[in-house]
Amino acid sequence: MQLLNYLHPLSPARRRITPSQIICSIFCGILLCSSAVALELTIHLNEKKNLPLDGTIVELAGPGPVTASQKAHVINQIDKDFDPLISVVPKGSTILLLNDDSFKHHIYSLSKGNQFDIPLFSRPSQQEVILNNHGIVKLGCNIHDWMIAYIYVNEGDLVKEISGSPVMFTGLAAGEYEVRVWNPRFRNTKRIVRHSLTMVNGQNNEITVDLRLRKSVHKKTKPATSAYPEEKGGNY
Amino acid sequence: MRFQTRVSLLFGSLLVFSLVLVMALVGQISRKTVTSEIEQSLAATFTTVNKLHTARVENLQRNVRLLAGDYGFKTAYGTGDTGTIKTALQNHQERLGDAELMMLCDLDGLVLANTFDDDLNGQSIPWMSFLDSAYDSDTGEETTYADLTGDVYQLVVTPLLAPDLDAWIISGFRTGPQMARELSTLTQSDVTFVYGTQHSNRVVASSLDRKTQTDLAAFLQTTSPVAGLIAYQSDQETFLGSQIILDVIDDVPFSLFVQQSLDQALAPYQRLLWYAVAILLLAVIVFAIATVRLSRSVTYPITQLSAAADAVAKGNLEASVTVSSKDEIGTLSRTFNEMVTGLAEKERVRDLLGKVVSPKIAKKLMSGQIEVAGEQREVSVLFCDIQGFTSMSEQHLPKEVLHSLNRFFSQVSEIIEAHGGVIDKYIGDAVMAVFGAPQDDPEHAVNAVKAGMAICSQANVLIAPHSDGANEDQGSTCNFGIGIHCGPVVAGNIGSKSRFNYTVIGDTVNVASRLEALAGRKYEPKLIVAREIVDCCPGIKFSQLGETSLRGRTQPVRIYTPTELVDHDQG
Repeated sequence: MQLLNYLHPLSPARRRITPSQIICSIFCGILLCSSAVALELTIHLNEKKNLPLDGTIVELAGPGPVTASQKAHVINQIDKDFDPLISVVPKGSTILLLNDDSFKHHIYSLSKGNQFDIPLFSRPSQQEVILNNHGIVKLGCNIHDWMIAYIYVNEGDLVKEISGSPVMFTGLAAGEYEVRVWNPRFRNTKRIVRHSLTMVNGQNNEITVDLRLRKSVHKKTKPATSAYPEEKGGNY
Repeated sequence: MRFQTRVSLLFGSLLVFSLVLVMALVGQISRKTVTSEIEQSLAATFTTVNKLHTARVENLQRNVRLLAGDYGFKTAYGTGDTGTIKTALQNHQERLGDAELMMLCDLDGLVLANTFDDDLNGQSIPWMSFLDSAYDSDTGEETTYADLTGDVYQLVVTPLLAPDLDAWIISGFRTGPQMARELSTLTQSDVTFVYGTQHSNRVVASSLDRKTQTDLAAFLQTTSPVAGLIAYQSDQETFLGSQIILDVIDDVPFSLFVQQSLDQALAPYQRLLWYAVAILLLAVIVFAIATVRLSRSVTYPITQLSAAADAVAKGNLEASVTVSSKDEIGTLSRTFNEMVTGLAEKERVRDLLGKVVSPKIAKKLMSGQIEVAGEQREVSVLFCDIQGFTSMSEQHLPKEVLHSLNRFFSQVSEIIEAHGGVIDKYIGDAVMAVFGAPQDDPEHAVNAVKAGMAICSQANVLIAPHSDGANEDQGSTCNFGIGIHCGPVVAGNIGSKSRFNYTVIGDTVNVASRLEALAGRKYEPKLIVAREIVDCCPGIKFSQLGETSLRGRTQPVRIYTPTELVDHDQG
């Protein structure tokens, strides 16, 4: 499963911190230090069938705005597949769509709030889309039905792609938070599991989130490269 | 019971029994054959219905997959606008032609748009298990039957991939009368879809008429579901059917009942049966006529033979039967006639022989009891001779003479035979008779004397103009003489093997002849006997006439004449 890009040292920076943000952070830190200890949140993810949790996105949405990434996030089309499969970008980010195949693709998204339609473009053309709404964006190709990519548009600053449980968030301030969990192997990939909680000073918090995953992603099976076998309904 | 009747009844009964048995067997075998054929046909109907249904479902799935992959539809879906999605569904439904409803629902089963009933929009479909099955299947597709506003629909769910599973497209067609009629036309069986439990079921669709549907539903309510062939009646018509459960909808079975009319299937055999009955009746009539004619051809000649035999037994040797065929009956008839002819011939011979010789001799001869060699017997011999017959013959016509002679001989013969004697021969105008041969007669002497006395008193020789006896009171008479003697003789057939006469020879015969020559001539009495006769007749008085010498004898013979019968028991 593709790792979250911003964790990779060589991957392009997912976001850039402005000076004003630094100052605010220091100020908040002083306030916090003067008023309370940083809190921890432990999130236990419970999959009923103990299926792997690879590709699970855990977001902790709390107070404070999310800053869109300054640099466009690239999603490539190569060998009739999207790369990467899963992307996590903050709301307002720009997605740069590249096509490294020798033929055209017709990219679309029907995801509510983040719909777009980019018909038949090929290299060296690049297409950009801006995702302004939080949620799951599912990219597809109208020509190649099996092509799919997921973009998790997060609202909070705290978001991780994990492959195991538990998930810990530290240095948290007290306040209202919402834990958001998503996995492309959800039965309904448009849905995000949400769990609201209140972080209290002097108290470490733990929650358990029940998940129900499929064994694999809901999509058509890519045909063999030597030929296009006759489709007989969806193959999962 | 007459032979003709028995034969007719026997063979007629056999014929009727055989034909009835054959008809019964044919009927039974026909019914079994038809039932078996119906059972096979119904099994084939199930297979055909399943295949047709499966083909239709697969066809619908293929078509809906095209819709699910259509970007235009996906775009319409992406708008989230119910009206837009509905028109897209309607457009595609019209393209498909065999779908009667289409709906789009989200992954939670909420209806987003549909072509069936707008009131369903925003409602959850009641078939989440159906969607769960599709979700868990390899293809993401599933089919099921569903109860929709009282009608049963075959539903097909197809995933809408945009690009992964984003919604469900549900399409379907109604299990309705048109489908039932189409299936019925293709399978040549009546098809009925039934929804409900045994005690509460209803006909969803059927190719049957209303009345038969009602009867079927009522029948199914009273019958527990059984495997195999079941029979029921509607409007006096028998149907054979079989039932399978297609699906269970909300714990209620949805089944298919296929049937064929047993009466219609048996119709050709029923016609055959009627033909057989007609043939049977015709055969019985023809057979009866033929039997009667055939038996009559046997019984009538036999009856005739019986009557003829009866007539023959009663002495009618002229009886005969008509020979009208060349078969055994004809042979029997011909043989009978030949037998009767033979009997008549034999009787004529016997009669003639009886006229030639004494009937008793004739009888003995014909019975073969008389040997050519002869036998010695004690007999009495009587000679009777007409005196002066020769001279009288000169005075009359030969015809008159013959008539007179025959008349006299008839009288004499009748008397002699009446007294147990037999005429040995006629010698011109004389007659020789024997008493005690060929049959034994202990009273031969007495009988001979009595016969002689009777001849003397009754017979007369009348020679008259012969005109059938009309003038017998006219003419002249002759006297006659009788001589009787008894003693040993040799009795037998005198002659050769090819020609012989039964007679007696010996001295007794000669003496009797000599005594006859004396009677009415030398001595007045007409009847003269010798001493031996007198000794043998104690019941008769004799008058001695004296002694005389007889020609050929050396010793004189004492002669007598009977005068009176003393012992009436001897008379």
